[in-house]
Amino acid sequence: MSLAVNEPILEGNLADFNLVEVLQVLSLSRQYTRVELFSEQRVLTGSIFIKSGKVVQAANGAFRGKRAFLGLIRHPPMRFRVFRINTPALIPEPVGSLSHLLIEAIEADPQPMAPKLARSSSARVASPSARPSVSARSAASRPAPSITPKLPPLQRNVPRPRVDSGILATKQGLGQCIIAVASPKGGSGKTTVALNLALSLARREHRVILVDGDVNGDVMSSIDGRTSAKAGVFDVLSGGASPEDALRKTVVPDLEILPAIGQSLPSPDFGFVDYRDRWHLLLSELAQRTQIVIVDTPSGMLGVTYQILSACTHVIGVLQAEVIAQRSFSMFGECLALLPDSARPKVLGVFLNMLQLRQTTSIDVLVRACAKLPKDWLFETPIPRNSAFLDAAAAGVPLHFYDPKHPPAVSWLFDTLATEVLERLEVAPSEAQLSQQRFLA
Amino acid sequence: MITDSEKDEIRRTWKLVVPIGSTAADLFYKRLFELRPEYAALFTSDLAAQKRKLVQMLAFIVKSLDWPESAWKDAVSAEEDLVLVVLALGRRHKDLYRIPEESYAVVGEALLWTLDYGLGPAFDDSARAAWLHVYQLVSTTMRMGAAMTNGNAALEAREQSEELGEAALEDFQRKFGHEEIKATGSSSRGETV
Repeated sequence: MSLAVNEPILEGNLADFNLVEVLQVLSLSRQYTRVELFSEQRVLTGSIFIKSGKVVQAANGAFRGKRAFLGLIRHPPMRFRVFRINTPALIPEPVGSLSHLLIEAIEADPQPMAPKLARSSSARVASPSARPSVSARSAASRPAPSITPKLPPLQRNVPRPRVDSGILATKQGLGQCIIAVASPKGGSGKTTVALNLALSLARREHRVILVDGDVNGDVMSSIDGRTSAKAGVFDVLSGGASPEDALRKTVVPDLEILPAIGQSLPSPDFGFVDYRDRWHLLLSELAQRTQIVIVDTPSGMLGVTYQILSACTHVIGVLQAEVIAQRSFSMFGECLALLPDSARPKVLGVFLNMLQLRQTTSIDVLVRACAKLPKDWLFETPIPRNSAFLDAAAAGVPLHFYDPKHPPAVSWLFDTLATEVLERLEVAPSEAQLSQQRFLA
Repeated sequence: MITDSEKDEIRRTWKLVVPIGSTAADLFYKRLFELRPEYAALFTSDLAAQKRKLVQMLAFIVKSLDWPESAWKDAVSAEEDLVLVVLALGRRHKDLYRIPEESYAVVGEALLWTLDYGLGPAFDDSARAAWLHVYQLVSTTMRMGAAMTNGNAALEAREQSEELGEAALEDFQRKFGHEEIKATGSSSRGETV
């Protein structure tokens, strides 16, 4: 039997085995190994990738590489979990040798740290009185080498509070803002909403990262870019790539896209493994480097969507203006209720999509949504079913870029939706926008 | 973080141990029971088989450390990975054999004494330092394996790794075994070192 990848091979409390001990042990392994580090509240605070005594990558909040590694050594979190993971086809050049990096950590902050390895084996073996007594040779006088370098005392991070699920934006600007776009039913237009909303926000000079959380890669399919992605979000989550490897720039300066998949499909096990902590870490990092993160989720509210939702600050529900979608939409609220209070995103609003004004049943969905949904959930802007979406998809561009000089009329509705989103996030308009609003010079 | 020079020392001295493997195992247990007579009660089954398993495990450790720095990117199967196998060994020592944690220090002392006594002048300061370093890392790995918490996923992985440990040793014996380190069977009882 082979040992499964992406299952923890070791986990515990860093009060029992300190981080240096754990890393020293893993330096013996030639497997590609990921060490995840958690705060006392079990929030993922950092990770270190090791192979054959090399630190291949490290992440600690917004930091990567050596700086992240040194930060984790100097301020180790409370708990650790070690995974054996698939070795990527191309292993990046390492951050450095584990031993050299540990020495660097010591030299930079040389406070003594009791070597935990001395607790049992070395305490006895290295003790002069415990050395072999039969040989008259110089055994008794040999100094016992210490394998644990002196390190700063074990410090605990001040627990980093989990991102509150309330509206975090302030008048001074956006706080951490991670918006999931979700729907219980497939085909409701989540990807279309996510893509065009992200574009409208970016055109208003808000920096936006659009994350495709659907393994089917619908965002990149919409813009005809599936084959161009070198790495995807699932590669990043599994440790095979960094966000920098996967992020794609667009012709809109403030909009970047993190595709779902790169050159290869993720492991089929992905849907069965709980990656909530990794989603949280990744999306938090993205939120620190931009203003708004929008995540297009897979259909349905459980599974991967549930994991993504637990890492988001807000969620936009997409309600297709058709009867079946309306019947299943109760799942939206019910599944959100399953999330722990501390991990439940705030409902930013529900967006009615594909409204057909000539269809009574479609109008009925609108009427019911107004009557049944909680107050203030429904956005005032609905989007009608329109052939322009098909034309834009065929051209492989968002709506606005189908004809930049004369965009389809429906594309302006996403600008209206973006306005509503920003209002609900309580974002003040920029000075430039304010000046545009003045009519008289 | 075993250095290349330490690997050289381990390889050099292990070549000297192999021809006297059974004698070294005799010495080891003799010294262990001198240091802790009560440990003899832990080895109620076939001690001869146990001695062979000790040498077999040491051979596996030495072989696992024998790779050049330039090969760090090479993929290695789980069955040949030192840490995975030793984690499983530590778990078995705790769960199956009820080996107390303090025994790791005594075992280390007996091991170094055995090498010192058996190799004579060849077991110089450099060799001693290298073996001490390796033993400390291996014993820490075993203690981590023994202390693994009881999360469901971790528990399942642990069960798998225990099977893996057995399979790896058998596979190693097939590939690299010679007369001095052949094991008698796959039974893990009495596998304690």
